[in-house]
Amino acid sequence: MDIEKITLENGLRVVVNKDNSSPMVAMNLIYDVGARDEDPELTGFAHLFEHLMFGGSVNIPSYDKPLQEAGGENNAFTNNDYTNYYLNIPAQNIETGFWLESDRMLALDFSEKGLEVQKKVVIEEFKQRYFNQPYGDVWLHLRPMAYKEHPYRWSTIGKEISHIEKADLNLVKDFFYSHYAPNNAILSLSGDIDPHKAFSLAEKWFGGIEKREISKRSLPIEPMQIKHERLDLHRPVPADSIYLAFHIPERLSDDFYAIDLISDILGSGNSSRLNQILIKEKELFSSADAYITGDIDPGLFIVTGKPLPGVNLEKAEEEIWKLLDSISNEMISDYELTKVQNKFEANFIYGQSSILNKAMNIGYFELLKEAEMIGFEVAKYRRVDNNAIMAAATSMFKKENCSVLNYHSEKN
Amino acid sequence: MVNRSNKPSLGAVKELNVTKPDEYHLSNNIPVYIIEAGDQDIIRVDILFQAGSRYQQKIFQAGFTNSMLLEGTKSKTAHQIAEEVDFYGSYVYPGSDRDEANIQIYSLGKFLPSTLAIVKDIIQNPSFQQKELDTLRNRRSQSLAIDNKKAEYRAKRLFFRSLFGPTHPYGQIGEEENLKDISRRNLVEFHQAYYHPNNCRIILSGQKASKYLPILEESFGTWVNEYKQGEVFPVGNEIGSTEKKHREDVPGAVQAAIRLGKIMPTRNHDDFSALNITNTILGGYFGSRLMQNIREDKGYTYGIGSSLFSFMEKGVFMIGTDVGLEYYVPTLEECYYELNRLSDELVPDQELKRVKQYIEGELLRELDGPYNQASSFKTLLSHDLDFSFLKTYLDILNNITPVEIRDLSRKYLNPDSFLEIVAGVKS
Repeated sequence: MDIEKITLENGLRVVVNKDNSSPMVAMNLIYDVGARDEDPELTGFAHLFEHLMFGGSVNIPSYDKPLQEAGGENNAFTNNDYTNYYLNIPAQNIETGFWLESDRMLALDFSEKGLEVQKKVVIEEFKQRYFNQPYGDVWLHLRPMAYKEHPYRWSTIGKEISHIEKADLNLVKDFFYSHYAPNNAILSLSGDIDPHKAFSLAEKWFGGIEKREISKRSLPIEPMQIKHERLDLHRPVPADSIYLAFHIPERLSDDFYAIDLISDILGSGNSSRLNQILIKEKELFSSADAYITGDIDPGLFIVTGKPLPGVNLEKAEEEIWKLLDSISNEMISDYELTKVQNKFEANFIYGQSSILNKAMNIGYFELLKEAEMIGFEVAKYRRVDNNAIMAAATSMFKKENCSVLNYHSEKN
Repeated sequence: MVNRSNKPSLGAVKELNVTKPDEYHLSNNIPVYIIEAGDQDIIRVDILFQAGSRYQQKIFQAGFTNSMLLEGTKSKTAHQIAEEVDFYGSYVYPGSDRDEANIQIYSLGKFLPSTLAIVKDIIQNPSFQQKELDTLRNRRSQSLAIDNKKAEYRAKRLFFRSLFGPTHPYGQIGEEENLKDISRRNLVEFHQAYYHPNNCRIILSGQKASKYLPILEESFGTWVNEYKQGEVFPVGNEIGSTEKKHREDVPGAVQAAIRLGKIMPTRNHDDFSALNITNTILGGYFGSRLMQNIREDKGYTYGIGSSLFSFMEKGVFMIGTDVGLEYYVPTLEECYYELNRLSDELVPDQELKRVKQYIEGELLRELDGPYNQASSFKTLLSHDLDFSFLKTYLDILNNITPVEIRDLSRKYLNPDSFLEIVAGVKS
């Protein structure tokens, strides 16, 4: 991929991928602050703050209106590691994007009314995602089981609604000035834009924003889990469900690629082992999945499934362990390994057709280490061999590295 | 020092540049529409049949026939099919809705011949194995039970049943007892009646897509089916509920799911595009009346919107949101307030201009690259339209006036004509 980048004097990193096949430009801005940076008594803040970023900035009362007038579309998300803002705009209007993003990096138009409304909105989001859905509250319980020290023990939405209710304007201002700054951000673009034009627009609009003193990130390290954890919940859901969480190393670990491929072997696509063995062949589950959380700090490998009526959770868990053990104990075939590597590569190529996907990815990799990493990803997946798969599985799939949540159906 | 109060000037609007897809016919007359664009070696193929649920004799018949195509052929098991497709890194997605059924394929160019060979087999020779049908039934049963717990699912179900009538092809929604009733024979019959070359259209899109025409010819051009074409019938008029207001209790709900709506003209109707623009103003984007009032001003919800969509023979307008239980009454009031406002007041020029500019940007996004173009074209094709529809839409967009919007709202958006569904509260 064609990537060019610079760093402004104030520390802002700017990464550009030129792609003339689109008439648009996707602009992405990552701030290196996520739920992991929150005060344990005031969780949900990074995400609430993301909402406030749309309430108007010091020189621009409305973020959305000028963007709409320029034919642009935008959104944002927050996760445990970082906060990501993006927009997609016709190429001839890209300067509007620079104007909008730089102004809200400079200073927000902090207002009581804006804060009050977004607190309510976020509380409704909390309810919609976590309390108004069957199985919605799983992660509110799974996280504190798996993590005792590290901030990943709470969800991005927050530990509880009362934390969001506690937010006030002073806390909001503090948060902004200690986390939102050019020296804590990465601006990335993909689409119909010349990199040098992008750099000069970045200098023009962002250059004048001064560096800020960023709260130093010093997170407690999660001690190695040495004891198997278990939790039983009872809820008015129609089917039992089980969740197994295993600790895995950080994203930049050499073992990451083998671990990601294991999640594909288990759970990706119709030929995956969970689907073929537990659902089709043994007819024990109605649904099952395996995935990794994708966190930057040491994250989790999740295996989950809903057993069919007549199959209890104990049996379900036993069958899952048999499957996991088979990867730890039996070498996977070259065929199966090549299959999941092919899938990764096809997905990667498909991802190149979206300028938004590319802008997000080059920003993300620049955050991790350097944007150019993206050009080596396919090769890293290809270099994983059967031995590495077996070693990673053996290391990961151990009872003492595992937290199990049994979600029981309460049939009233 | 840059002047931040000065909004950057906007560039000249780019002309909507989309070429009409080339149309070819395979030897057996299946039309193939070709969209050549992009620079990744991924080809997308959409194989479309008039085989949606409106043609079924029994609930779930059309959907299951479509899903079961992947579950085994006369020469391959479901497992073998899954292994092969996954090995190539290809995606083969069956899908169906009320009117149409389709198989959608994404494949690296180099693996397209192999992938299409598999798709040829699953479409022409599915075996509908009993064991696989039972597995599918069990899975569907579980997911239905889970859906039934969701206020938003209950609201959707109540909405469509009340709008069209529970036996109307567009109002039918399956339940557990319908699942038990589906047999292997139902699927074989439906497949024979509706999955054949006379009922088929194909969209081929991607970089240098036309070079894959010979492969398509090999896979589908020689397909001959002797079975009698299944009946392709009109849906008939809706038998909507006479009662306007409906409530459904959902135990444990902490939010109420609201759906307001009515029947509208289809995409082919003269008023459709203007109604689409009106819908955008009301609830079709983040800056819309509904979103700005009910979320951004009042904080009642995480999201609210309105949509105008078109089945082949009927259109539907729907406002939808999930709100805190304590807010559902004022939310309904505000929705009606916004509907009335469109009929009572002229949309200010500045707002109309902004909506026009936003929609122009959306159109560019919807046509950005071969796969987006294929999706847009697929929607148009199901109404026997093509990209010229979008050029006409742009003309209407550029010329529409506040008076026209107000008059259209008076004609179509009278709140008294709306169905009002709330799930999560007691009757």
